Amino acid sequence: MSAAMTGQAQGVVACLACGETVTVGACDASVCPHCGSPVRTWWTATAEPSWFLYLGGVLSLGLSCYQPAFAFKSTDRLHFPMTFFDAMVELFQQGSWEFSAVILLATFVVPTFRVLALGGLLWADDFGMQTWRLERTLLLRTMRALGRWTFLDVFAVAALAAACSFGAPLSLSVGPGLWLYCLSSVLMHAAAVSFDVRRIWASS
Amino acid sequence: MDTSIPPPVLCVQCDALYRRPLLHEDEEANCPRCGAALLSSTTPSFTRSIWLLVASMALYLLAAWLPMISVTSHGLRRDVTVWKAMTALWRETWGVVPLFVTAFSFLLPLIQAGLTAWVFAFAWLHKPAPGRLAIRRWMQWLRPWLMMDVMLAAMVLAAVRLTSEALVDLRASIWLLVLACMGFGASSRHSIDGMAPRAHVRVSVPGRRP
Repeated sequence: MSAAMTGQAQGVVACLACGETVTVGACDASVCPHCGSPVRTWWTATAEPSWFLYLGGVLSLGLSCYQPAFAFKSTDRLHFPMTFFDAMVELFQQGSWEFSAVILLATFVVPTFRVLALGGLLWADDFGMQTWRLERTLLLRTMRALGRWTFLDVFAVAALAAACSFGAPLSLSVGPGLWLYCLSSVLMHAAAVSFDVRRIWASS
Repeated sequence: MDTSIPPPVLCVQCDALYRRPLLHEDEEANCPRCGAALLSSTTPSFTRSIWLLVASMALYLLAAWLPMISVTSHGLRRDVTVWKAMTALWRETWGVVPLFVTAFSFLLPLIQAGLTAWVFAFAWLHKPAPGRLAIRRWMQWLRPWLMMDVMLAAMVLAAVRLTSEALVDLRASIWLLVLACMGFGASSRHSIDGMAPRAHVRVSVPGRRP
């Protein structure tokens, strides 16, 4: 089995619904003869949707850092509204270093990695970078796999908020920082999913 | 002598075009350029997949009915079920948070399980399911957004966090949800792969001759 040529060079494209190879000819769009699904050439499409989703994600992630994500109120002590960073520092000071590490990973390390990596991929696509193709493909696959786990913090706060209404001696209110972070996770995940991996391998 | 040339196969990840390889039983071909799966001759067991789905649905219903965690505070113990947690979430929080949490962790996995059941039910009747290719597209689109496993990890995290404030017990239901989540994932993967015409897959239905 040898890679003699590419679909782009031969004017054929894979149908994403059934996987069959479809000849698109001169026009950019066709219909798969096997399953009837619409088929489009990926090399004439732009990466603009991914760019818009990415920029929206970066903006909401930046804003979420400065907005209070939640506020705890317990019987013995009153907490002011806190950002994720405040929560991480407070948990660390209380000795809950494992939760502090989870917040650090899920809210800061992974999203920062995603912002840098996806930005790098989109920038490389814009400039028609021809090197490090396999590495960029692996990076995109990693981001798609990691993307779901950035919702861990959102889900944990939501689960805490729900559990607090069942008799726990504390209450938790959710602030705009959490829904901005939630929006950022959705937009960044959508940007990673919408970016066509075949663009990395485009010949020009 | 069969002189027909098999159609080429295109890698959906890196766009490399290959001659279609001849695969033996339980073999799969990967793209040498990017490592993505090209073709597979593995036959997913239809019987195993359908029983996996039925068992997962039964486990999910049981887990939704039984309490997930118990919160004991000031001598008062309250059991939290999935349904109660969802209604409390909508009551206690606002904005996009309950919407996304409900959609990603409960609604979309249930839609995925429903679509899988639809395809399997018709396969059981030896008929192609209406709209099976559209369903396959939807299932592929849904796959990155299924987060039941992330929600379960978050629930355990939240329960452990609450232990400093109240007595929290993880009940058996949460482990039933873990099993249901694994079963849904495996059965939907089988149904997506089984619906791909290009994969050399023959779905073996009990009582039906190949």
